Amino acid sequence: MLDLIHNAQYKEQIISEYKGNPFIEALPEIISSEEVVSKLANFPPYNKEERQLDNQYRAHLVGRLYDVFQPLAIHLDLESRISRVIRQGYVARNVLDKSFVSNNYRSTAGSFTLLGVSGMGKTTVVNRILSMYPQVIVHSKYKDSPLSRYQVVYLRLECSYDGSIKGLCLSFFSKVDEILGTDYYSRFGSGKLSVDNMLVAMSNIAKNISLGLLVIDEIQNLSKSKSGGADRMLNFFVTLVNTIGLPVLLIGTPEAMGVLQGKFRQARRGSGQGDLVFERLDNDINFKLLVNAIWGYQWTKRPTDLTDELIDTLYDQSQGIIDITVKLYALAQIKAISSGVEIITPELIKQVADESLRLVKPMLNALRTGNVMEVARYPDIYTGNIDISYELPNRNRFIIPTTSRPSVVENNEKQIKVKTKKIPPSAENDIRVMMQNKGEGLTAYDILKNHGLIKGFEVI
Amino acid sequence: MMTFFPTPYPDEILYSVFARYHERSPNFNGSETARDLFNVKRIVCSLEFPTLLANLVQNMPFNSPFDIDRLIVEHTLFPFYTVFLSPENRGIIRRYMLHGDVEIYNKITGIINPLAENKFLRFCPKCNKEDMERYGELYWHRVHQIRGIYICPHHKIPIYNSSVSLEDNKYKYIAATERNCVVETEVVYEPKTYEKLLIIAEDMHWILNNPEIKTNIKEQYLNQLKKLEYATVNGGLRQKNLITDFETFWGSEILQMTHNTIRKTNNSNWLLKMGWNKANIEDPLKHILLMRFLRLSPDTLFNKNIEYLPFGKGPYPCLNPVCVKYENEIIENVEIRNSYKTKSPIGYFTCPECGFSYLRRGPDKSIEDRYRYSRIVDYGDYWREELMRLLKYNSVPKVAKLMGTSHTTVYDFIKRLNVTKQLNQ
Repeated sequence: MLDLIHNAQYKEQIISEYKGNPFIEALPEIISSEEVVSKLANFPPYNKEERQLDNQYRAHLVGRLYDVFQPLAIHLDLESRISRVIRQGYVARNVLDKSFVSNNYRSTAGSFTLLGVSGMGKTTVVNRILSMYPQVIVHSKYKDSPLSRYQVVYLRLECSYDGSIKGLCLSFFSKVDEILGTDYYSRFGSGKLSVDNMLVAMSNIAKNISLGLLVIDEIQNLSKSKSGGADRMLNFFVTLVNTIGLPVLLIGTPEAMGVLQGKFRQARRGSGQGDLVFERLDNDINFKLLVNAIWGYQWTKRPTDLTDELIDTLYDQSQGIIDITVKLYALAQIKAISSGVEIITPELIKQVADESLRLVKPMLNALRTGNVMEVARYPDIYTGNIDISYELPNRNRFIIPTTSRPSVVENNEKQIKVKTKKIPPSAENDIRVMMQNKGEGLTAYDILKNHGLIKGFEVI
Repeated sequence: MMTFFPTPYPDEILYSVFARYHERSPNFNGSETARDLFNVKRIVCSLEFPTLLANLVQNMPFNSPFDIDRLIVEHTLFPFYTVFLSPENRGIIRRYMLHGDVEIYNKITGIINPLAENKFLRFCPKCNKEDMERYGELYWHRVHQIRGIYICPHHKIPIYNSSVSLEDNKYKYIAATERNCVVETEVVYEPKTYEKLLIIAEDMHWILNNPEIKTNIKEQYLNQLKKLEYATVNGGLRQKNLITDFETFWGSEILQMTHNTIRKTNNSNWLLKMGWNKANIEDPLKHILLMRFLRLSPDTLFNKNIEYLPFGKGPYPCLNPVCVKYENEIIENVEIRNSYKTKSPIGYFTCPECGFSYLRRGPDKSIEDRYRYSRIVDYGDYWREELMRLLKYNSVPKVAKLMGTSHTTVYDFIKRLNVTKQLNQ
């Protein structure tokens, strides 16, 4: 526990809203995008002489490729959003501010949602960004007055596999226990409490550990929750954001779209930062940047230069999914090493894709053909109908209109009422006529049967 | 353990800090808070002497800036109640507050008046209004919870009972809110009563913040009692005078309100024990009643030595008219004795220059009294020699005038001189 703890060091803030807020002043400074790139990037060591090692060693070395992290434009965007959302969330929750003390404050928190095709590295990049912040900050003194409390900057949870609220609460309790050494799990997680009480406890805990950002991963699991479960969970997140002012970041595959576009659509209006979608990479500068970054990690005996043809092949085979791209390149190297070819060719990549990526092949094929019907069969890659209409944050963003106003323009003229005349039953085969002319002692069933409208069992 | 500890406000009582902790914590009941704060399942929420504070400090967040002794001195009533205790007894109570393993029952009965126990937590409406504006929430003030305080020393208005009963909420810390601090009927005291209650409240506030006695309290009282002639030079109390004057000074209303009525018939009356060496009265309220009756402020009682000087400060003048140092202040010390009849002090003065010695019945009423004597004890050798010398050239009445005495004294002297002469011959 102790190694996680950072003693608070308060930094002079440039932005006036951030001044005098111990939670914000204790955070690391806001950094420029160049610094973000250098902090996010990860390039493991590489030595040219390793190319001369025996096959078995080189096959292991290829594993290093998976550690490479090349920041892309969208990662910078995400970093900036997280940085903003954490700080903005703290603005209203200043323990030294009397309006916060008297529970009479306006939430400044915003939530946002990160959606992306599986294999785009959503979890990885969020983890890397969060690791730039200390997880626990200990305050003991702020400007000569004692201030004794923990500040947990972020907490990452995974939505439970069945999308249940209880599972989320339990993992929240155990996570807090893990980092702070409390006993919330045994206290609130045992069977004694109902789920509703757990939620109350959870929001209280989040409040008094001064949580900066709650990250919920695998949000698409909500679609598996029991009926009404997803709505309740999403409503709870809205409560966290609006009532206690805790920013929430939801991460999921496009599968979560169905859930989120249900009732959460309204709640989303409350999000100050909009939503972010990690689409598959296009075959453009970003993809080139990625391939360039991994290309240097080559352990074949004969170095292969990167050509446009190779890039195109990689793109075609991976369809711009980062994980697949890296895997393909790694597998191609292993194949080249083990087969003794020692050079990477487009053909080799295709061959590897055919041999080793059989499981994902149908999905990739669907993406390649662009057949919407095909793609739609795989909800975690289908981003077709994502409606990312960014709305400017409303002035009154906490007043969510619940009933839509009638769009009648008030005129001085009276509305012309068109009366629809009732058409008297006339036709023979009108049911109403049949019922009117029914004979004594006959039930409706008999009448309908007599007219041949109800088919008997024997007909079938 | 706690993930945060509320920063105590100025003069906030620890009970209130715990209550604010409970309110912010996710805990549903008091026993969970007891576990957070003290690692125990259940604890009686004591207002005056909270216990297990050593556990509290251990449970605070890492690097917590709170020091246990500072919390005790600044946020409990310990400094007020224990101010008249011996250092050993104070140490025992402190140990009880830290670890709770010592029995303090017989120690605290002497310092808190069980009759005056508060049934409810108390508040001053003006303090609450200020706190709400300044901090955004209310808290229980330490000074308002003292037994026998009726006026807020800051705003000089009556203190009210909240709706939070201490008896009903033994295992729960309840924070001050606008809902439980309501003034239902305004209290107005009689102007005379109000004045006295205000003095008591202000003294309590002073003692709470200056709990350090630099003098010997019993000696201070005794000297002051002697000064006001409630005690003889030897330390005997004039009990009847003391009790009647004390009762008229405070009035029965105040004594009843503070639960300190005096039973005249009983010899175990607390008032008479205050100055008695063997008994210990440690209730600060009783001390305040006595000191104010004796026209002392706590500041003088605690910090300035009260001397019993019925003849003023030395040196005193020699009153021998023939002495070179006549009416010069040369006599350093006075010997004070008790008069057998009137029990008033008698001072014996002896000039070191001429051996002239006189006595004066005290106490002195004015500065001129210093040059007055009641009787001459001894004329001294120089005086006798001078008399002999003057007698050779002057008549007896003249000599008597010169020597500042009567002619009978001179004749007496001559007679005695002749007797000794004859004896010598």
